[in-house]
Amino acid sequence: MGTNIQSFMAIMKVPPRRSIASIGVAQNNFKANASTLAVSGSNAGNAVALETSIRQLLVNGNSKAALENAKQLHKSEHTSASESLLLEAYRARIQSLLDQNLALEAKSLIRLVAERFPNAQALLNDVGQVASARSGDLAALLKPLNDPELSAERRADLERIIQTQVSDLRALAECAALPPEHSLRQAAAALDRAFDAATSGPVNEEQIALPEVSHRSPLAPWKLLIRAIACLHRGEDQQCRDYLASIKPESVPARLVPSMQAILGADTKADSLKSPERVLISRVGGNLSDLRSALEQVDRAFSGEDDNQIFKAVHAAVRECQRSAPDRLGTLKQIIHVRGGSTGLDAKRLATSLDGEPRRDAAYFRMFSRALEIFGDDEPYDLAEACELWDEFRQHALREGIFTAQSAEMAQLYLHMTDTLRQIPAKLLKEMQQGGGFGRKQPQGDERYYLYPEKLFARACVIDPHPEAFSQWLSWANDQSVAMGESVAKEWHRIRPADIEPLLHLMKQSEKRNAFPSALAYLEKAERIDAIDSTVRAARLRLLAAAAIRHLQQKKPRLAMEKITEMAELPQSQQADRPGFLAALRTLTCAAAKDQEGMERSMHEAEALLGGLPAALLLFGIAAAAKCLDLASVPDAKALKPEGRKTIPASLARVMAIAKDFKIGKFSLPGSYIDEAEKQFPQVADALTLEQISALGEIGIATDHPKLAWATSTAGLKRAGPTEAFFLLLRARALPQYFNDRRRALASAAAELARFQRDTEVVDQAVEMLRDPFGGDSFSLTLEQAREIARKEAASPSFPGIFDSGPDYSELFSDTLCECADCRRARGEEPSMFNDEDRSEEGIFEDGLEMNETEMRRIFNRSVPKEIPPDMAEMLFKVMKEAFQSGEAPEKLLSQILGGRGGTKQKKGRRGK
Amino acid sequence: MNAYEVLGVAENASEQEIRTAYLSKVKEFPPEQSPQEFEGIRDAYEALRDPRKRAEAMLISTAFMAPLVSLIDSRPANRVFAGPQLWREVLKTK
Repeated sequence: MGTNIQSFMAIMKVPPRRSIASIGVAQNNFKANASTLAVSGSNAGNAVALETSIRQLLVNGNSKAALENAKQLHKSEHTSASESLLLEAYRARIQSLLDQNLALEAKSLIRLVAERFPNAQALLNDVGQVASARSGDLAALLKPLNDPELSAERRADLERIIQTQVSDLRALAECAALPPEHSLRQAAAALDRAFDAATSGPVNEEQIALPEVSHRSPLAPWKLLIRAIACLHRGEDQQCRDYLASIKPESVPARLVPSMQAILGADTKADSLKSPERVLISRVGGNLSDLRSALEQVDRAFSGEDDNQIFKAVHAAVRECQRSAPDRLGTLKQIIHVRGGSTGLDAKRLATSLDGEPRRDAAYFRMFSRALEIFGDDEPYDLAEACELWDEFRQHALREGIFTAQSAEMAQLYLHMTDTLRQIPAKLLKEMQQGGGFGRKQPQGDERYYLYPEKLFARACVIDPHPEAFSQWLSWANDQSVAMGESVAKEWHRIRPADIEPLLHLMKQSEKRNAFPSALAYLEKAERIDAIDSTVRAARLRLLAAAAIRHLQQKKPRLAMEKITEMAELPQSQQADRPGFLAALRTLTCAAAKDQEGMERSMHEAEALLGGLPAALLLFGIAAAAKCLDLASVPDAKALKPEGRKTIPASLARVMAIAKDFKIGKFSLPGSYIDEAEKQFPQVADALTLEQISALGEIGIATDHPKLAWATSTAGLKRAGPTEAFFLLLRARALPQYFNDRRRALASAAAELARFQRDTEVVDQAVEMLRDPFGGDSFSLTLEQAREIARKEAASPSFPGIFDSGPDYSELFSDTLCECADCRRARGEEPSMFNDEDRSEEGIFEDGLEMNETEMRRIFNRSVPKEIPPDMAEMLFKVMKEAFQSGEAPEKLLSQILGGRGGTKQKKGRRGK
Repeated sequence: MNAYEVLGVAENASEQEIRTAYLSKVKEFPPEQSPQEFEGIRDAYEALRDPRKRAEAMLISTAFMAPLVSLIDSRPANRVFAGPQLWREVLKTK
């Protein structure tokens, strides 16, 4: 409030302005006083009391009650004193109306008072001017400024009113009471233009320079405000704060300071702000808190079950987004529509909640396709529909210029669609291909290309003939059929003749069907592309060896000899034990050709190169592969002298390494030698290299000699080092299947150590073993846990049996609860699969050994499939127990009871003899 | 933040736009001064520079499944030019 009005109030003894709350209290007081007035109004002595009451009401800020009582008093007294008090009450009431922003009402009251009390005109001048200023009627306020005789004091008073009361710059600029060239009008017009500009868009310095407004002008605070607004929008927050701090607090522009400070991040209490201020802050400041809570509400509603809640929340969020972040509205509607569509919400109601359908563009179809892929992973029709929608995405992406028809991105899209189709069972996909579309259209001809992986691959590879794309196509085709795989490999070779991969594929396929000339022809092409490729280099020797063995099998020793001669000319055939292999192969070929002299010469050469026993074992293995065992024979291992028997493990390991080098299929070793190796191994293990030990371990697994494999794994683990992972895996493979927990622990430890040692081959094999449907759930170990397992295993050399199941890894299976009756009882559970009725049988068995039935039950429970009914399982357990009592080995027993699951799994073609 | 957001480019940005954005970000966060930010920028560029990887990243994106507030999380609190009327409403109050 201006000083002028304050001084006026002091003269008139008008009480200071009160808060709304104070007025409320005063009104209550007035009711009590009014009641008193009614009783004692006619009493002259009471007039003094009433006057005192009126003054008290004025002091209390209750101008309305004071005015009513003053009117009554003046009506009854009609004295100059009562008139003066009445005018005082009018003055207070007018001021109160102005304080309540009721300028028009104040003006009306001023007019009324001036009519009734002409002498009071001068008294009401100031409040009248304020009322005029507030209501936009500035003529009365400004007119005196035209008077050249206007005192400086009066001018200053008027300027203060302008500064503190005039909020309408345009009205000031257009006020006819001043001439158009008047500096105040000029300044107001310039400020009004600048204010509009600064609040509507970016402004330059020139626009807000405002030379028309001097710093002495009553409108100077506006200049500071406009600059502050410009800085606010430019992000020049500190400068904005500086301008705001310079604005006079009593001036009109200062009314915007709290709002602007809130936008700048000042901690402002929401309830201290008026409604227009809150709106301004929200709209200008980009305050998204309302939208944030609306969006959170939508997320919560979607996670609930009530569709109505979803629609309600969606509607509110869309409205709020429209208001506060319209730039995000399109995407929001798309996302909600996709979510609603993939969760089966009513489409019409959803569209209504969204205030209309979302925009159907590439982004929308991308989201919808992806949602179907994610949520439809177990619903093949959703996956097929996802591919149809990917095609819609493709068309929109082309139209929107996201990518072009012949781009790598387009090829990637086709490959992505094949990935999706590959999740659909082949038979069902075939049915889909033969059937119609998915409800939206009935495609014709090639339109339904998106359901055919071969068409998608072809499109991808034509657009972007990238090796990775061909590789994916070849992998898929090979899964369909060998012929399709070869066809794709040929297409790959045709389009990218410099790639070696399709040639190697064609070579391997030819080799598999013993078409060695074709295989060698493809190899020659591959050699021309990259002769130093390791696969290519190894392939020629291997192919020639396989071809020679094949010729031997076909009783064509001459052709076999040609291949051997060719092999001998290769420089790589002179490395390691390869000359020995050539000599052995030549021996057999000469024998087949009945070339006695050549046979003996070659045999001597082989023996000289490899040693007597290894040469004999190698001859045996090659002869077995060539199905001409009549040409090679070895004596029974038991017939060898003790010294000779001790060399068997090393000899087998050496021969195995050669067979592995040449990848000889159907290579076999005599069984008596493997049995003997199992016996001899503990005595000779320390003298063997790690390579020999691991080769023997593989022989043990391949020929169903788990104890040999077990012994080699123990020896290997004792030596520690980088082969630990291999030997842990070997141990897991050697372990009887019913030691499920230990197998899982070993395979998991092998995987972890192999990862650390970057041995991808062992990682793959271990992961594959953990994926075995009978292998239980996989779990992960820390590196330290894996090392601890390796240490424990190295210290547990004995092959596990029913009485010695080895280290206990149960603490690693915290998620796996023991199902034995004792443990179940300890957990307060009912004995499930087995009841405890048979516990009376626990004790001494016929063989005199005390058998722990709980342990037996534990092992049995872990091995028995869960789907077996409890009564059937109990019966099986009894059979196992009885068989055990009759002296059968527990391993075989479990194997017999549980069939393939309980016994050692054998793979076709892996048996050595 | 996905790679597009790190570099501040649209999902349909061209290779040239991606490169320009990358160079600009590297200038803003040089490796010797902001090694962590630079690492993120480099990773984002690697993911987007190859059109195949870029396309695959776009195709498998699950950003739309994130909580909806993520729509405005990355939105800068940009101030809005709301026009003079809202400002005048506040000026009228006392």
